Amino acid sequence: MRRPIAFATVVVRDWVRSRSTVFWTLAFPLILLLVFGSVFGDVRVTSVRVLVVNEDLDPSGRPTQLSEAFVSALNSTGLLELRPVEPSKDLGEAMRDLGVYRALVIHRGFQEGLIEASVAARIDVITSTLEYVLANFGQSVPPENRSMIEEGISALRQMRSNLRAGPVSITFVRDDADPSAGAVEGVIRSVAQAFNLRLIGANDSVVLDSSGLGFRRTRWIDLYVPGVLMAFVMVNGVLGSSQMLADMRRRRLLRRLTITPLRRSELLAGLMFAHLLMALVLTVLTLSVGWGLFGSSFSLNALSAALIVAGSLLFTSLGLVVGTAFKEVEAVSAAASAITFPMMFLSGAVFPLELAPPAMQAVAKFLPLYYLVEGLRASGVYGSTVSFIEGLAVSLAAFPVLLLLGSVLLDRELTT
Amino acid sequence: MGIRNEAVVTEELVKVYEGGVRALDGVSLRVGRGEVFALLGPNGAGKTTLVEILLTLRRPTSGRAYVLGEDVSDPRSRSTVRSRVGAVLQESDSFELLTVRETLELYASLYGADRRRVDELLELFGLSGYAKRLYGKLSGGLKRRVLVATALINSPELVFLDEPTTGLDPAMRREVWEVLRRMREEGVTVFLTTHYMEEAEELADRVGFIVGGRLVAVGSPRELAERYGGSKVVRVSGLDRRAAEEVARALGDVRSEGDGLVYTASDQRDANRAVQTVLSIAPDAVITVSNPGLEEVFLKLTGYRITEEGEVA
Repeated sequence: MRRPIAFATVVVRDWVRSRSTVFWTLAFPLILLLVFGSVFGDVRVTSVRVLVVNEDLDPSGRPTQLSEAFVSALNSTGLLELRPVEPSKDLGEAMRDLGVYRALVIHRGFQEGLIEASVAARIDVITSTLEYVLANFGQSVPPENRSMIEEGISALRQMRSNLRAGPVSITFVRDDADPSAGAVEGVIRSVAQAFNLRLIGANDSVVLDSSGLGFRRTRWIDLYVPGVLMAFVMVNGVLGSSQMLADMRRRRLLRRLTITPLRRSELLAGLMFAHLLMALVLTVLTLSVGWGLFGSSFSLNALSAALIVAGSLLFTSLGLVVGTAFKEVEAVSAAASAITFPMMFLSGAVFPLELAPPAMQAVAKFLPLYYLVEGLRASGVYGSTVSFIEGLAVSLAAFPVLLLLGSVLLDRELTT
Repeated sequence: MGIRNEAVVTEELVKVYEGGVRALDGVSLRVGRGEVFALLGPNGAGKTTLVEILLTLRRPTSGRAYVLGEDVSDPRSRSTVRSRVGAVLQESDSFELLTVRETLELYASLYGADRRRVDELLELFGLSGYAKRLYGKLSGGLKRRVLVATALINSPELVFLDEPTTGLDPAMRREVWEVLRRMREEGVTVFLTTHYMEEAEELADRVGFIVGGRLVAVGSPRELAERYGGSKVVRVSGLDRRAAEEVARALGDVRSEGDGLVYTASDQRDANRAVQTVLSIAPDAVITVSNPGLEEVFLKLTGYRITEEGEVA
């Protein structure tokens, strides 16, 4: 153990004393966490921003009662984060300013039209009911009563003809490329239907009971903390180890160490151990910020700790392959960046994958980071084991293959 | 003397790289224990390839090589060889962000050496005052001193120094020579490669010339000079262009060196004749007559000189 620990100590010292490395591997993830956590820390993961332009104002310039009730109904779903926009403002400009490309426009005359439409709907219900009664049970109705009913229907029809013919429309402005637009439209439709039923006094025949998880309140930060943690375990492992090896090769230090009693397996064990130590430091700092500043509900249990260890080993061995497959420092750096940055963004670690286009979501399924992030969220946030097992299985399958490949490449380079 | 009694033995060693480059072409060599041996040759002559084979970093294509009696081609010998030798590889460096002491402690840990050895080497190489300084902040000469010290951490029986002073200015080079002299005083066998003739002359007990992968001559600097260098070397400087042309014409076989001329005389009488010829053309010329050095030997053997950068000219 003496030799691997001696080498691991060198790797850690080299890491700690390099300001740029400490910034990119330790400070940068914490800054990301602080910035994104401050902005989105308390946002529910399911809420989607929608702009609301309410043009239906009363003479005093305030939203009419019914238009406001409709907005409240939308708000009460908890699925949408509504941002009001002044009707006088240009909607396109507001979208660009706020960076939200979904908007609901409630047109002028919404309340008036809705009242008329609801009266018309009630009249329609009454007349059709009376006509149904006459058609099916008319013979048993006394002639004088029948005549009164017919007069009533006629009077109602007369009244109906003076009312608005069609329903009131509202407009949902959407970007066709927005993957969440369909879901938002569905929410608005269901609220509108419920509104329609309430206005004619009808009761729901089918009621959907929905309930939260009950055991945990999941907020965006709860998912972001494990995402950013595993993403930077990956960055540390791949970039850190590959660049360390490339730099050692450039200085001919790999060859120098090879002619000492340090065995190849001991060198690799030292490298793995050092990166594991760095991953643990990153874990402690990330979770401290997550817990201390944002009250993250992520819990570091045996399962999540196992995944962090597995992730560190997997990504350090990936870095080993990158660091030995390419000869030049620049080529190693470019290859490591080409692997880490797309993986970070495509795996849902930093941005919710649900917001990504379907093709990107399909790509994520081929990335090991996706399984490790999902596994870490499952084990640390939801306390579930299904995704954890997937993450662990991916790591356990890929780690020995990459380690062996890296070891062979290293051996080929050092003994020719 | 048997293989076990020698520090290094090679027999018809050949190394052909992928692509057909023949780096070593039948090198046979013996280096005795306690000896300082310098392998001299221009860049690309095969010096580093030979050292890397002896250090078990490369496999020979054919032939045999033994270090401290161990066959370097035998994988079982690798760890034994590596634990008994020390080395400074060509253009090798160390971890920029480790201090001098930490660098030596790293190698002490790898070899299982006593930490007191670190203090000894810091003292021996005049590095005690720099012990807490980061390696990356040291001058070129101090860095080489540290690298040589790391090569001695395991108190090796044999040390390989592959171009230990290349790229250093003359003052720094002399600093390293001082260190190498101390190693010689400690009785360590040194296998040195260099393209600096002066370095080999200053430090080596024996010298081997290698050109194009072939060992062309081996012996002590004195033996080689006597055998190949001619008797005397006449150096002439302080000539204007016309005088230089006239001297060159009169002496015949001269070569340029800096802004002067060099004539290799066959004996003392020939040297005297050359001096008189020069004085008759340029009475103010500065003339020095000396015994031949390795440079003259190399010239005689190959027809080339080795430049400061290690290229043939």
